Amino acid sequence: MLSLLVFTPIAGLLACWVLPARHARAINLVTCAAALVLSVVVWQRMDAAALGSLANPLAERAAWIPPVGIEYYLAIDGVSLALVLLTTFVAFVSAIASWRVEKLERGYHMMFLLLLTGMLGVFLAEDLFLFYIFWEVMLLPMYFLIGIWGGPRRQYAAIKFFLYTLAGSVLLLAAIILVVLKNPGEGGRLVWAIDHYTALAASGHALLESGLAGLAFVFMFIGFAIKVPCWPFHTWLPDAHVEAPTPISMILAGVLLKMGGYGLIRIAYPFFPATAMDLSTWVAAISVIAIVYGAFVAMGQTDFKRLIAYSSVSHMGFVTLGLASGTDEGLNGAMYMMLAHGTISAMLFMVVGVIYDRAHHRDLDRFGGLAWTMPRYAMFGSFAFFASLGLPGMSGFIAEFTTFLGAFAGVDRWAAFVALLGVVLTAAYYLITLQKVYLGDTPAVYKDPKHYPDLTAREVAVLAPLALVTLYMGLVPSTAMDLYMDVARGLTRTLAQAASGFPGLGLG
Amino acid sequence: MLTVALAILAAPLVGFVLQYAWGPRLWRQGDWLTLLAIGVSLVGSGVVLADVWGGATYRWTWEWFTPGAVGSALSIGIAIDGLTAVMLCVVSLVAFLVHLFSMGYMHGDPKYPLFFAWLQMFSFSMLVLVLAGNLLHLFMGWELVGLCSYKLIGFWSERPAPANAARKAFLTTRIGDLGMMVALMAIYAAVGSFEFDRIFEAVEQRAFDDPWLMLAGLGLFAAAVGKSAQLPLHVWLPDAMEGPTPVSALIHAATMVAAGVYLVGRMVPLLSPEVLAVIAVIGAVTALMAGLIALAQDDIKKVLAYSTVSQLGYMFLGLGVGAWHAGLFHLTTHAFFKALMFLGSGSVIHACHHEQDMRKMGGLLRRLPVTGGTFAVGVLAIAGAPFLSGFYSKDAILSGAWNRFPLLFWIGLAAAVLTAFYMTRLYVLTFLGRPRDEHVHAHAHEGGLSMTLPLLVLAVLSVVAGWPFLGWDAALLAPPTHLRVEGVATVGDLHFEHDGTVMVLAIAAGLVGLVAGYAVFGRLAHRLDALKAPFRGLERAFARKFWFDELYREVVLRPAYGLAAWFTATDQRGVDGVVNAVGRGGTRGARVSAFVDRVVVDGLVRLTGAVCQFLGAGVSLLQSGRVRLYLGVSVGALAVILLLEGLS
Repeated sequence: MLSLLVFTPIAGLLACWVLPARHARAINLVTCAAALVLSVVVWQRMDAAALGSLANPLAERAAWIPPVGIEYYLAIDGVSLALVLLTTFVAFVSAIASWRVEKLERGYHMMFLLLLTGMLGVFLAEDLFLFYIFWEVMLLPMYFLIGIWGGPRRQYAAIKFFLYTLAGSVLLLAAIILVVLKNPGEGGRLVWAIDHYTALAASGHALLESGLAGLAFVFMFIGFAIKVPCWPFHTWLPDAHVEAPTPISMILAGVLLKMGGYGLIRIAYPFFPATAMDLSTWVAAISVIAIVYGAFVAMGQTDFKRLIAYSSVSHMGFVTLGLASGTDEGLNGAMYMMLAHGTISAMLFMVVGVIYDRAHHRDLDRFGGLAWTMPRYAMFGSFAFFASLGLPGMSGFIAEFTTFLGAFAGVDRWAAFVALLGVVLTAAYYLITLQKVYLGDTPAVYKDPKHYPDLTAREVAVLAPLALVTLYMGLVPSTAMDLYMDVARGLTRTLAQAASGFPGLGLG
Repeated sequence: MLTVALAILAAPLVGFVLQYAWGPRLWRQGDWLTLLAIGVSLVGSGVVLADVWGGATYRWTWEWFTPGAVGSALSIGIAIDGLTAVMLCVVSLVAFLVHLFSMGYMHGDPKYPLFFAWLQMFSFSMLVLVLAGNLLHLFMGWELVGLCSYKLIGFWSERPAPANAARKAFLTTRIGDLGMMVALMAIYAAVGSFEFDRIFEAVEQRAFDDPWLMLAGLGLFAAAVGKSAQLPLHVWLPDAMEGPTPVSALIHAATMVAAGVYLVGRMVPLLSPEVLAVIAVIGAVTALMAGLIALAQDDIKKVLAYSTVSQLGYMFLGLGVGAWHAGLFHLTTHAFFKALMFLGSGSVIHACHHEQDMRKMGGLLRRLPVTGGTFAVGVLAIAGAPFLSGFYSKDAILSGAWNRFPLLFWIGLAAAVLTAFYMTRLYVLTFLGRPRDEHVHAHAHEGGLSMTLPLLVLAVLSVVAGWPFLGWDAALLAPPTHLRVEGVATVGDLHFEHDGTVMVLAIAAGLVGLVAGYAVFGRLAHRLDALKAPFRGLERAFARKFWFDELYREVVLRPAYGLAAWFTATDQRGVDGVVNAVGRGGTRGARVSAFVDRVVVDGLVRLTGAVCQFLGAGVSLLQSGRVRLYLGVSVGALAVILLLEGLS
């Protein structure tokens, strides 16, 4: 079942390759729809127990490279499921948004599908080696999608993205190898299963002696932090976003950034709970810097898309802030922020894409008064803005609010107070932008309905599902939270025990 | 009862959705539909009021979501008690009348249907706020009314002024809302629930204590300061007058701005004596200061806006001195007479073709008899003329202050004189004397029944709402059961023992203001400039609103924009500069090693070759983008290393 889910996009990719190019976009859309349906089927097959543990009937496990113990091991629990659902959903709407790609159509859709496989694989692989393979697999199509289908500076952005992420990957790989080599299983065989190490660490067994553990954790953290992206590893993001085509930006912000957070929750924190809690003040510090600094920089942008990119930096600060707190609420907030930001940022990038398609520029100072000529566009645009600035009733509020509850309850209470500043700044830059784009006098250029028509049906088909999910997640948060909360609580239990030196085990 | 409560909420929500989606295509652009919807809420509120008259309370909760450990679920819920019922009636009644009034006032506006849609959304949000059974739920309504306020202030955002005003309103109140967030965090950490009863129990049992209790109290008040436009966050409300006048009446006079008072009134058991003292002082100072500013405004709506700020300060003064009942009583009466005057000003503005400058008005009473007559009732009510509603509620507040903080009593009394004075000025300039602009005057005429009827209804309410024998306030505004400070609990009943001295002083204050106002601006109008001459400096200070806007521009906005620009620059040159430098360094290093590889080491040890190929791949990657090769090499090399490691 899980293999089917992961490799369905590959089937679509092959179909794109074999069939005439003009069908590629339809194949892409159908494949994404199939993946979405499959992920929902998986969801339906999971009961409460399955959500709480990777050891459930859906897991698929087979020896892959026996001499070194590497396995083909796919498994799913609530955390994975939540992100898989996000992935297939965002991919589906992005596939709709990709409908009008004209350049090298076939190649685009093939890359798109390869990317989807990579992303799903990352969220489902439970073997460290397999995880790493998928992690790298997803890099490649992203590189091409930005480098070929991107904007004027696409080469620079693509290479920067690639090298930056690769640097992170190398650190990640080093840490993984360290862990694996230092913890041979029975008879000296290497073990790569993630849940094996998670269980070891949860039982109070330190995977590495303290110095090495610190090193490995920092390596892993940086590897994932680049993806999140945490300040100060964030500068690839604005460039990548600005140059990436709209649907790819949606995927980049909606799903790719979540891999960093996922890695932290799945690997870095559970493997090294004690180190993670020791360094929590540092993590909290860079988180609030990201939140406040990101918001300030967003405020200083004149490029619509850069602004949204920096708002992502700011919002992802909440993910790490929640994690750093080590509380149930904090972890919940971090997960919820990933899901909420996934849909909201996809919506925001589509909003930028809509006007870029028409105006061929993104200069905020040259827009104005679009609310009067494109009312439906303005409605979706302001909806997305208010969702992102955390208006109650929409998913962003629940995410921020829960994170705040967690951060306040955690050790670094001060961080919650500093992060509050970000809430006002976020409202400030969104309202300024809203005013610049939608309100005021409409410059004559934009009054021409032929070149500036209101949203097309296709654009509505992209934005409306995202908006509905945003609203639903804001009104009925328990649906998503019930998926991952058991796993999250397990992790906080481990973190709390580690912070108190595993008293129950007498290791204190 | 639950059905009724849900109907009260559902009607305007459904109204909003229908009106937003199909309004323009309906008969009369859907205005009747929204009027009908808010009418349902009004009837429902009446039912609730009748039901809880005897002291009944209701509470329903539904589990919403679990943020943390199992069993820590937060809920949404509806709670109804006397205070809720009063607020429900005020909100739905004023909203109903404003809907009606808008049918005349907004007639012919190109966005007519949209206006009604947002009025509906506002009514819904405000009702959510009022019916909320816990603080989190209340906060949702709180933010939603902020959104609607933003939308409606900026309703005419084709012009920059309304757009700026809307933004300023949203951001200023959001600064106050940070306090609410702090309070929510502290309450959650200490109590683990946002249910009002649970919070108050925890406070009583000392499970929730200082410093977080104090912080929560101050935080809640900060939120109220933002929403109710108190010092120092009052600056947004006068600007908010850029919105259509019915909006000013509904949101920025009667309901939303009073939400801060409601919040403090609701949460009073949480507030320690120190916090209450802060509230009283801020309220009194705001009442006085806003009154002074109102003196020097020429825009009819600006005068009313500052008057609202001042009266809200009065309410906080009442709550702060422990006259819990008096503050909320004044909230109710003020809602009626201020909505009356705002709608009256709307009627004037409508008649004068959107002229708002009082210097161009005058003598309008003859042209607008209904508006002028009802407006006079409003002026008398706010001035505290005996037997009108404002008299009773203001007197109750002053009695409370007299008993607790005499100094604040005198400030309040001074504000009462000012109130009567500037209101008389407004009335004289607008309705009496000779017309100063023939053009404005000549075409002025009363709006239709949809505009005059709300004025008449509100005028009646402004007169009778305070009459003691109606007994609604005693029946419905019972002091909260959990009170933290015993001393305050007794002061809560102050309004029953009207202090004779206070009453005499209050009546005298109103009278002095009225007479002085009429004398200065009516009788001696021709010598006004000479009269004002000694007070030039003061007048300038009032007219410039004590330079608050200028101060904030220099102290808050400019530094914020400066930081934004500076961080933006650093992000590109600093943080990214490092990244690019590393990149350049890497490229150079790779080039050198590639050179070495090609020229010097060629044919040497295979291992060195492999390393150089690794680096060389970096070069080609940067130059020709051959990423696949690199990936293949690195993964392959990795596999080899692992294999060796694994076998050894």
